[in-house]
Amino acid sequence: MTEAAEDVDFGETLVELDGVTKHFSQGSGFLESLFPKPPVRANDDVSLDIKKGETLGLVGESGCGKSTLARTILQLTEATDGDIYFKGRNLDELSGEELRRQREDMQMIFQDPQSSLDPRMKVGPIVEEPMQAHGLYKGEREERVRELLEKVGLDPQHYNRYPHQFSGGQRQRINLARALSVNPDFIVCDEPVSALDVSIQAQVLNTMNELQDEFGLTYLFIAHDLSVIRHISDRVAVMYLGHVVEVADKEELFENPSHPYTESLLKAIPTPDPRAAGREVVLEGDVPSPIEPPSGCRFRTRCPKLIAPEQYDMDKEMWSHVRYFMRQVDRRTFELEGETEASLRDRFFPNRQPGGEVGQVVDEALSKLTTEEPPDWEGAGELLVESFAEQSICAQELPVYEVESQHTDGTHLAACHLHKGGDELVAADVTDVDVEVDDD
Amino acid sequence: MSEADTLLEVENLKTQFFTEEGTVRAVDGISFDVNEGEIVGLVGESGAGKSVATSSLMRLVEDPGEVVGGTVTFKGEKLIDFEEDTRGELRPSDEMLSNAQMRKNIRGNEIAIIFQDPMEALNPVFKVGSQIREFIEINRGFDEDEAKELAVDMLREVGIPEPEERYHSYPHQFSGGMRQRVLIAMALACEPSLIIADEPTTALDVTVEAQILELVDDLREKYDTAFVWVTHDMAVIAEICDRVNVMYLGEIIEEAEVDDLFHDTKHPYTDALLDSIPRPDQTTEELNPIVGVMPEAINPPPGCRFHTRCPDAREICKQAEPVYQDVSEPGERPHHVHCVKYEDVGYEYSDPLDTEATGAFAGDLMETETEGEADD
Repeated sequence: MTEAAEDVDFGETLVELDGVTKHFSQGSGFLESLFPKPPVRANDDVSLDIKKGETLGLVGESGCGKSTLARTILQLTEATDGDIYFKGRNLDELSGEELRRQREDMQMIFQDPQSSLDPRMKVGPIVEEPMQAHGLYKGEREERVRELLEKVGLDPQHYNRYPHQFSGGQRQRINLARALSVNPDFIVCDEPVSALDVSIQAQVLNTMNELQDEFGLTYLFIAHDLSVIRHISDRVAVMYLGHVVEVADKEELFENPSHPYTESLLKAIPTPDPRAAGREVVLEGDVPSPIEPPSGCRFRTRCPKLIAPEQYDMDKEMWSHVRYFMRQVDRRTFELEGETEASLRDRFFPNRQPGGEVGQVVDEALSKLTTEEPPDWEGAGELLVESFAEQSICAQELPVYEVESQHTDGTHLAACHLHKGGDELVAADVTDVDVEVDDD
Repeated sequence: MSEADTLLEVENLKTQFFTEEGTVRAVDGISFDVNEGEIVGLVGESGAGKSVATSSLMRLVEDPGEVVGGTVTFKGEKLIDFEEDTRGELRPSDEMLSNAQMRKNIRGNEIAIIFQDPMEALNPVFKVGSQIREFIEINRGFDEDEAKELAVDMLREVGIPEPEERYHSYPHQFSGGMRQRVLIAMALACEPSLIIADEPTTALDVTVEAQILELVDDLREKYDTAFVWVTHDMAVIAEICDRVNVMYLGEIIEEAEVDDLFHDTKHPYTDALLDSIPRPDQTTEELNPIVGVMPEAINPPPGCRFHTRCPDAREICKQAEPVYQDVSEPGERPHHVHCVKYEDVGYEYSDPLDTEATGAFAGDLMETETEGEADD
């Protein structure tokens, strides 16, 4: 079978992703082949490695491609591009039968404990099924199932019960037992506790930790809940719109977040303590569509630290105001009734009026809003975005930079141009903007 | 907190579901109040009866469920009120509002409700704008143009970009967070005094949740609207609420100001719940889960309903039904709790119960662990 590739020591790379890309086409058939629509770019150029015995947390907002990545790793969907190595073997090059055998070592736990168990099968056969599929433990399967049920914290007597007789937390334990039945090395857990109540969540997380220690398991743990990620992971990867934007050891990531997205995400987590400092809302709007994602750094359209385009001469304060003005026009968040070009300029640039080239662009945008009837919101927005946002280095180049770890000795990758170093970069800062736009 | 600014008062509210298997006492005698402009939390695990409690307030409980007792007073009007008839049976009193009055005067106008799943609350085949406009026309008697203008204003108010254009979008063209904003816009459009928010941010990402909570806070300041905020998430409670009611299996077991609830926790359930949550701001090695699962409301445990999972449970907890009482010292803010530990019924002299929760009995998990080690 896979003896040759069997020896991976603890701490060595078990799973390696190299530029994994997954695009979904939006249609199929003849018309699609003639007039193709742009694909949904679920994952783009994801490179990661998962070491044996560790838990890699994968976190991101819904729709960022976490689950697609998980399914692609297990070859449940075929990658559009890139390679996935498991124990050094490229999964893409395996034949169907070889891949099927390889799956013995890779299992998955799904989010919804209800729909991932066949309601018409009893618990015993459910847990036995993977062993049957792989022809393992002949003659001792029932005994092994009872043993596993006990290990995951259920009563071995539950062998003959149906899934509906269990609560959500218990069903997730059945899923765990099923995944463990073929003695895998690697388990992908796709939001395994997010459907459970908090008190039950803690029980299942503790059991997962105990099982990891006992069986030497490697987890890829997907969640959107950062508190859970902080509890269970050894290393954390943060995803945004199909890209991995930051990877670091857990302590390092939470204590020294180096990508503005990770920072914003951490600031947004609520703390179960009324005395803790309130969370800050730094992100505006929603995640853009993965069909036509922003160029360069995908987070730039929402980034609070967008870097100023080099060709204009702006200091930090001026750039922050320009950027704020640009977003507000683009999102049409203020009313124009009773406003003139001068009053708007005073409102958005209270301390200092923009001069030179910047001033010209701002004036042109303002006149589109105030002199034309109806106001040309679209033209003004486009003008500002094209002149400023699209010219930033963030829009032009895809960033990848290694950051110096401050809390642990692992590597820390943060895909942000702020870490490029060298040149003088002027990043925006929302806290600099002292504009009060009241919409009354 | 004077009597004068109490907006909503719930006393001994009971809602039961009459099923084939028996009577489910989903809400079993809860009492709480909401003052003007205040955000009151209702927190508990799934199955605690939070949602049934809120739909009972609005008299929206459907068959086989029925509100069977209690009084709900809103601005002096009785939304729910029962009296004994000559045969000693409870029946709705004359003071209780009729269904038509409820529909016309209360729902939407005075008390609005925001649900967890905005896709279910919005009609998928009508444009978002026209749904808000219709709601305003019906409840406030505006003509079409006025209503449309207000609808666009409300969309802008809740932070929908390009509100004039988005007025003509369908619900499926909005993201989850934007749909929730639409529901908030709709709820606020009639300037109600109270909004019941039933897990409105549970389905949203943290970043979007943070935006919505900030929005709610701003809007409350502006309109002075009171909220009943239903959630299972203690972190959201800590973030937004002034006062909190903790529910367990159909009962409110603790009520306090938010700071007291987190830092002067009285009830063992609240304590255990807070203990079981992983923290985002610090790394915890081991979580302390509450053992077991919540029992069925159809056959609740005798005595204190939490005694089967309570780490402090003693014999007396099985026998004595705790009294819901204020245990604060004179001069302190009120702090209600439902636990025999704070009563004079002999808790101190009672023997600890022999359950997994009290640690007197080696639980399944512990057993597994030690066995596993022995095997090695």
